Amino acid sequence: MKKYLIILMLFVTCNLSAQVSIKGTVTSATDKEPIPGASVVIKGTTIGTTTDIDGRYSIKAPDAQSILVFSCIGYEDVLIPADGKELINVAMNEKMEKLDDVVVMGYSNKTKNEITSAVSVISSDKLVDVTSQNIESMLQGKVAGVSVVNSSGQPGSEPLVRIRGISSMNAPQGPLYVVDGIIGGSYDPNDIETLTVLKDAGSTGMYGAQANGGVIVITTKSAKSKKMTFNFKANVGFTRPDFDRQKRMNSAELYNYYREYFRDPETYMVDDVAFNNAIPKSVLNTDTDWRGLAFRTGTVQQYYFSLMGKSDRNSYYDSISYFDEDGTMRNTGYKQVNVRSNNTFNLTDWLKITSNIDIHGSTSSSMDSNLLYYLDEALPWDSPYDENGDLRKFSESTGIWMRDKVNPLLAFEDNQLVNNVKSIGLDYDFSVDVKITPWLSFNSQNRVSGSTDKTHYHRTTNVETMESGDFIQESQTFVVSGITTDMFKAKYNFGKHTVSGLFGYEAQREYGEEMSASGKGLPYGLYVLDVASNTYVVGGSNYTNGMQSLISQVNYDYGNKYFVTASFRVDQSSTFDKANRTAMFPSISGSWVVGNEPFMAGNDLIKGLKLRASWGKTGMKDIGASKYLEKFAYSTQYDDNTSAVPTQMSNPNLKWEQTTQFNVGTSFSLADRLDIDLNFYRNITNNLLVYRDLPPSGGFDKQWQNFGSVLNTGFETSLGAHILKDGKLKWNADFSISYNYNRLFGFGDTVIYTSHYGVMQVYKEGCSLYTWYVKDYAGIDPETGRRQFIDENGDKTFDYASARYVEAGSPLIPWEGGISTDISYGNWKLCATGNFVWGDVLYGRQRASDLAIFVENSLEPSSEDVIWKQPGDIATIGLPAYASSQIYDTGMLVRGDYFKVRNITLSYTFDKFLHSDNKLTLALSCDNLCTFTNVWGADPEVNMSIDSDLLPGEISTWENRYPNNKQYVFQVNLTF
Amino acid sequence: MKKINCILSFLILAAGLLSFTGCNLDIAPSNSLTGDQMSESPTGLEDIINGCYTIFKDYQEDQESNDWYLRQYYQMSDFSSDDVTYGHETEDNLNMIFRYPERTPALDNITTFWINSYKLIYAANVALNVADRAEEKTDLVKHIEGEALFLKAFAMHNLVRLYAKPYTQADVDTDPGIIIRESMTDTDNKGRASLKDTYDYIVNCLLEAETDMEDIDVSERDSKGFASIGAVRALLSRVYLYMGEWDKSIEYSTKVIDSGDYTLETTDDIPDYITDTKDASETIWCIIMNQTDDKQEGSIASMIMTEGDGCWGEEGYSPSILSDMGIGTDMEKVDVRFRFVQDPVIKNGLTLYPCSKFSGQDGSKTSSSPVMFRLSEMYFNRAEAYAHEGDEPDALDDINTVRAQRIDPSAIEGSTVEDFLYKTSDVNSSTTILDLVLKEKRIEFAFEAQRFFDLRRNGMDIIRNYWGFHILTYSVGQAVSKAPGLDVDQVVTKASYSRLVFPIPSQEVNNNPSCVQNEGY
Repeated sequence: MKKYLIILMLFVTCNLSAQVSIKGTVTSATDKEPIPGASVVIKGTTIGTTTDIDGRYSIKAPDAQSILVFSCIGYEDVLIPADGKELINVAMNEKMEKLDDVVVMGYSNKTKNEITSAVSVISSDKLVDVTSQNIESMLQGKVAGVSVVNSSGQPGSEPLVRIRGISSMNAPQGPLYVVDGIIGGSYDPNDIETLTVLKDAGSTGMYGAQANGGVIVITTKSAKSKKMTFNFKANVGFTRPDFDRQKRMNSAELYNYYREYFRDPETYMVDDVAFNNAIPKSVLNTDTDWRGLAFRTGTVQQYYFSLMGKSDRNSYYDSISYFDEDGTMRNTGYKQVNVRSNNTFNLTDWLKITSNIDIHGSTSSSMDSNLLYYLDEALPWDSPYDENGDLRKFSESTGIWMRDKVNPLLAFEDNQLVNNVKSIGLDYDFSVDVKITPWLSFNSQNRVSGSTDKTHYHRTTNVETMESGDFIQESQTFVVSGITTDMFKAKYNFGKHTVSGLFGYEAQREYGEEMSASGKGLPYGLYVLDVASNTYVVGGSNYTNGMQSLISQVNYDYGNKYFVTASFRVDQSSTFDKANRTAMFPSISGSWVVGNEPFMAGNDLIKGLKLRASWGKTGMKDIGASKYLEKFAYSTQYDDNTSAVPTQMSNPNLKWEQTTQFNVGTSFSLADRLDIDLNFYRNITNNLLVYRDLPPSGGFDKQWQNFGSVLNTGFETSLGAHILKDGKLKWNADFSISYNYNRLFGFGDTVIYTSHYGVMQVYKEGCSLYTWYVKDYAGIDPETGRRQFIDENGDKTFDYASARYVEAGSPLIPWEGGISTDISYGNWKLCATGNFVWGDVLYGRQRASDLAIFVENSLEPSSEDVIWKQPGDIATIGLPAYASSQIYDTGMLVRGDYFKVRNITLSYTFDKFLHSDNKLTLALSCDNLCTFTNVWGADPEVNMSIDSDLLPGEISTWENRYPNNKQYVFQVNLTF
Repeated sequence: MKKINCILSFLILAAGLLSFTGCNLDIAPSNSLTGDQMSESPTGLEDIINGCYTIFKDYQEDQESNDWYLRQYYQMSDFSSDDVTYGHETEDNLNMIFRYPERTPALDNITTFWINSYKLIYAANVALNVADRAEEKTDLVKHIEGEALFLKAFAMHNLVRLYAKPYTQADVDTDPGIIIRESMTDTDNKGRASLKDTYDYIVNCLLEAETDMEDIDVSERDSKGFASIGAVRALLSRVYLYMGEWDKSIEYSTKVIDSGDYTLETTDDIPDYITDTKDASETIWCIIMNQTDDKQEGSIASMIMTEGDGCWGEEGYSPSILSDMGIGTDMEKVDVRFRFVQDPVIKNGLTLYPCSKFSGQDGSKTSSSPVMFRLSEMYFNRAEAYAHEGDEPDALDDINTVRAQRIDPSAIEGSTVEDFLYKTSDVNSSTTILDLVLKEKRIEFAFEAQRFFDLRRNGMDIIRNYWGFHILTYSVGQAVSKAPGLDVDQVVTKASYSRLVFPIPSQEVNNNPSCVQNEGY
């Protein structure tokens, strides 16, 4: 084959003869070694060649005055006028920045140059500034187009990640994780070497039916050099709950506030006699800070130790990490241990075996979320203690002011309420690479995973919550899964043409079992199932799901300038019935590296200019098993008799949700100071998987159907500035901003509502997902102190029932971005990261009067709030006599804009600590330092999941979620 | 060597490719049967009919956590009446049951009841379909067929009396009833049948059930938790009363009373009746909820029983019914039905008397097996029919029969039961015999989903002349020393007020355009 090509090339060369013939050798200026594959072009023509294995070239120039351009990846371009010379030897200088970093794309690796789609790569050092055990927190604000919502400070909780908006109504939206080239898997954040976010179908198309939410590819560490390297890291710090914008009233504030309740709606005078009868001044003798008693200063510690190295035949990386957080709420915490061993063996020059294992165990303790509710409701006028200073039961005490007779602190006593999850899991990866010919190889990647987790919950009769009595429940799950990906990979060069590709088969299967048992009637001091004496309930089930796929990809590049990638994937999933089981996901993408064109050579202003475009399809199927079948559930009983209930009607037509994605982008750097990356995308998701309302009179109220479409379109901009890069003082800054526009279409006249109590969201033609649909609020009437609304005729009214509904914005985030900067001076370094969100609308601006149900504690009014007292007052809070908890209007909506300072780290590095090879870095780091927002009464990072009781973007009327933490950490990082 | 690895590689891939078509991706759920599997199950018919009963007591998939059939059944009927004080405003949609003008078709609780009713009707239709295909019509099959017909009729009657105008107060040929689902394949969108057609359909189901269940004895289904011929006749007695068919109602009430299968609980038994309804002699049919079905903070009791142990204690006996019961008089001592009235608590300036009628089974404050039919109702149905026919003595007899079992004269020295029974003289120019029947029924059936329908059926206004959050402007600071005047908004509600009929849930109307909405929504 090669011979023929050479003959062909000779033939071509012969045709071009009769001009000036130039030859020579290209070498590296650094090590004087020859450079093979360097490109030699006559400037202003298409005439060109590449150097051979010994760095030699020969070229026919049109005339003696031609200018030769020598270029090669990783080296500075060299321009030399021929000037009639026949021998030109060139020494090329290495470029400072490494353009040819390998980017891991999942099924294949590419150099940055070769990439034809929108991807973002983050290296580990940019990732681990935040101290956390989950990668999601670390990503916040760091990648354009990736939205991370961290709505809970519960240790171990995982934030929500959404890439390029939300494209589904009911199907899950999270990205697909790929660890070390295989779908799924586990890792410790410290094990991560690079993280690649695949954002458009040019690259995610390869993952077909699982890739609607984007793909995050994680590569764990491997040895870089033969030197054995040890690394030890320790992060130790403390945490505080962030209640900054959600303070509750103290005793006196609440007393003065309740006095307003006794303001007569007719005379506007406070009836102090009635007030003092109802609430005597003696309540002021008690001022309990309920939150203060239930929350504390938490601690966080993380230790990591690794060693790695390699020889000619093998390479290894071993690590162990331990994470331990005591939450800010008493009795909550999270511990995790992770052990990893990565080993690669080059058995022969054609056979490579990789064997990686990751073992992880964790235990997490939490409290009932309704305890947060009671802590917020509890009154400062009530003392949790009896006269002996012991905690007392409110249900058995007299003179309690709180409306629900619940003393939430009882649950925090030792062993009174325990809720924990213990889990252990193992992933084993085994890969074989076989080099069949120089251009063809076979690659088999396999993973088996097993995990089990066990939850334990118990509460004693001593605990007061709304649920009565003692209770114990345990449940256990056991999951095994396997995946195999077997591919032929080929790569072939001929001249300036490079063709590569892969073709293969992938199969996944998961089997899970779960069981649970509960009971009541626990004896004093014992908390296991064995001792429960009554009300036994048991449950158990298993499931299987499977998927198999054909995958293929072809890459072509010409002269390192023009790149085309096409992929095609066929998926079959057990989620759907036979007829709709198979789906196809094609994609095509291309790029033009303008920067490698001869006419750009020597352009010092714009470097590395690249244009990209991609088109492709991805899908989504994760709606749970057997949603297309007619089902009779056997999970209940009637008077202990076997009972079957029709729970699902069949829908054999159910099929994949598919997104067609289009992306164009460019990247370049300006004067070596500013790296710019721009992307524009337009994604249309069709056949949305909708858990749709049916007319209930047919016997079923809901069904999974494919219905309607959604458009997500927007742009992303990332800027990386090297403001000061020479000298001792260095300053870099990164900035990213993205915009996403979301619209539903293909709905016709159909309108779908979802609601949580009276709060509604509407899905209809031309609306954004999650559009609020609530009554039109028109402020507090200055004359009467009553709430006003707008009715159907556009007139003001006091009557809530006759108020009109309006579509009033969506909690989907249109604008968001991040900013980070690092300044270093010698061994000192100061880094800061922040992120912002702009333009979303949340529900739940907490007007104090709407909260203060008699008698509960209330949120402190914000500085902007004015309480109405007499005619003429321009107020935000009306007369309490008109307060109602059943009002759902636009007055409760608030812009969710915020800017958060995520992290500030100051560090100092000792270059030669004890020994010349050792490096020690000490750092002080603060996470979640401060928030700038107008949202009052809650953290502006609000749950956006559809799996919650609350609607996406709804702040509970009572802010009963675990507050986010502020974290102050001391870090040590030692390498030797 | 290279050849070997080459061949090996291809083999692995080929194996994968071959299995691409062979890999089994048809996976059945582990805790449900599919429709095909169900028809092969030898016990399918019994499983399905038992499943129908679970719909009364279970939370259904995807529904708001506290909404389930019976809770909504009691909430929608009793909280609409003048028997209950609404003592604490809550986020629960039961708010709008009390506040008629704020009722909307989108409310979760109203929707849930509708959904579960039709789910029950569908399940009953599946049972009828399976019974129909049974090779041999054994007594068991006939009994189950009767149960299915009965359950369908019961669910339909509950729907029609909540979501349509009262039969006796409407133009039955033109006013809409509810959507009739004749079989499990009758599921396409369709409109509401007229009131007359709806009631006729219900009656026909019941008559067919009566024929099915007559003279058969099936030990497997012998439980008060399952419908029996007694339950079928009791429902006929009720339905005919709602239709104004006095003779028929009397006929079926009498059939049940004379069957000898049931006896009234006595004065001694009644206070404990609620702790064991399924074994009580007065019970005709109840929904058995065992220990594991205890709904705690989502139970019926949670709304009306004294606060604590899963109860919110936000609703209680209204001053209106307490006054009819004779609070503050000797009746408080002798009428054992006062045992269900709990010690008052002050809440938001209101004096609330909680009710224990759904508490005490298995020692749990929130557990009971709610009674759908008990013998006492047959006396009251018959008394009301007699009263309408002008048969005053028989009407008095019937209510006194019940009352005699509710009076314990020993509390007052020297008195006898007779002293506390109604006399002919109690019927006078200001109190008709019907008034008397309804007053006594109100006392007997407080919180048992009767009062609202008694008023509606007889075209009576609803007068809630007491403070509570049903009055839209009520607030704690308001003077509560005297009862609100009749001129206060929401105190008097005319029988003709359109929002006393619940709205058809928007989920139905929006997705089934042939279904008309009720007036006033």
